Amino acid sequence: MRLLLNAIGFFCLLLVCTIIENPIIGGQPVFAGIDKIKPPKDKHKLSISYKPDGRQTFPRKYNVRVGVLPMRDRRMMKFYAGSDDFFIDNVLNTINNSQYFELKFSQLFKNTSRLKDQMPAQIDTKNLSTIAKQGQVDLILVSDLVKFNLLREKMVREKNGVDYQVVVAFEFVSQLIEPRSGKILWAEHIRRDVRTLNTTGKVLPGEYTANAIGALQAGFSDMKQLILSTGLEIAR
Amino acid sequence: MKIQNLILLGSISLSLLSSSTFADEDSFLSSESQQLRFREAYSYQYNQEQRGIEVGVAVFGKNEQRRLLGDKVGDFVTLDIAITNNSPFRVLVNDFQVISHKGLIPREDLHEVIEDIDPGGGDKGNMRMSILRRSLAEKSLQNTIIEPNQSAQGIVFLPKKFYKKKGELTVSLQNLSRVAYLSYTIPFTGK
Repeated sequence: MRLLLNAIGFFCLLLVCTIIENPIIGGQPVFAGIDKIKPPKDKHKLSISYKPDGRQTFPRKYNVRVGVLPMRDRRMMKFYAGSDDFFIDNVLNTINNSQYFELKFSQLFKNTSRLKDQMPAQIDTKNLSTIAKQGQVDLILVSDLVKFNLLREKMVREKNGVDYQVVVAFEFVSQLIEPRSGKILWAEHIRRDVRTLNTTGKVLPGEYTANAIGALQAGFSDMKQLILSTGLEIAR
Repeated sequence: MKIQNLILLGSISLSLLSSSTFADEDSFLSSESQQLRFREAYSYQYNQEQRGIEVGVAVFGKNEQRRLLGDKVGDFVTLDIAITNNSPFRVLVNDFQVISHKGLIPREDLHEVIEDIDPGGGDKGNMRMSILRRSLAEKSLQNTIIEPNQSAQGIVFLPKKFYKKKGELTVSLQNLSRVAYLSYTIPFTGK
């Protein structure tokens, strides 16, 4: 009888321990401490605008004038929770500015100018030639913004506690086009993300803004490197 | 004493087993490691080929949706789309749209899909929402470049209110050698 009682006692103790430790029935330690991410109040918002690194110049690739069209927003979702309202700046405008300034600072082209026309839904030689003529440029850079999102990723799936990465993913597709012939000199899908470890469960504006700036800088750095290394030469 | 030890060992094994089983049961966590079953466009139920580039579309069942995204499926019909480039040219997925009996179905922000699936509140809900957001970002079809001999594949969500078992997928691909387009219109049915 005593033996049986001891066994039942052990079993009950272990069952209680299991329930407490169990992520589904008990205290949900795998999910614990994860705060909801919401757009911050205006006074807490930060800017994703930055000055390109002037020391990172490139040998001239194209001795012509290039016009940069504003990007089309082709994202499947806004920055986070259906909103871009996480920064002081307008997201699309700031990304457009950054792309233009990065290209201008790089000196890959003889002259870089910003075109104000909206990018047509379907580009063709006719509308590109008109835009090039009005903007007095020889080449046009057209881009689609594919991803600019804040994501959160648990690092060790079964590990209890808060251990995840705050990720800002940035993707865009760019094409460098000779407008009269419609020849595409360079086109690439550029993907970059910047991650930081978070163990507090609370994602602060400083954290994702720094990641966002890092992702933009890395993405545009790839763009410049790839134009230099894989862009087709113009026949003289 | 021997029997007592045996019972103790049995209990420990049982608790460990139940603990690990429960931990694996969260379908959102499990869905993180699940990918679309990769296949080329020719093997889809509805497909069309032009100049060596093929587009295929199929409607997912709820089971497949649960495997990829977690147990809550929401009020959406899910399309699996693949584009296979067997041409010598690089192409850009310029645009894709679905037309139903109610006309052009607007492409919704994926956040609406997450809200509709509603993985719950609290710590668990917040983490599940993060998992779902990442899943959607990775598994959805997007505008991308397809190199020769490669395929792009992804999910497109249609709100049920716009879809009644019949639809038409339109895809526009841009040649990345010289500006020119290929357009596809593929009727499909299902679910």
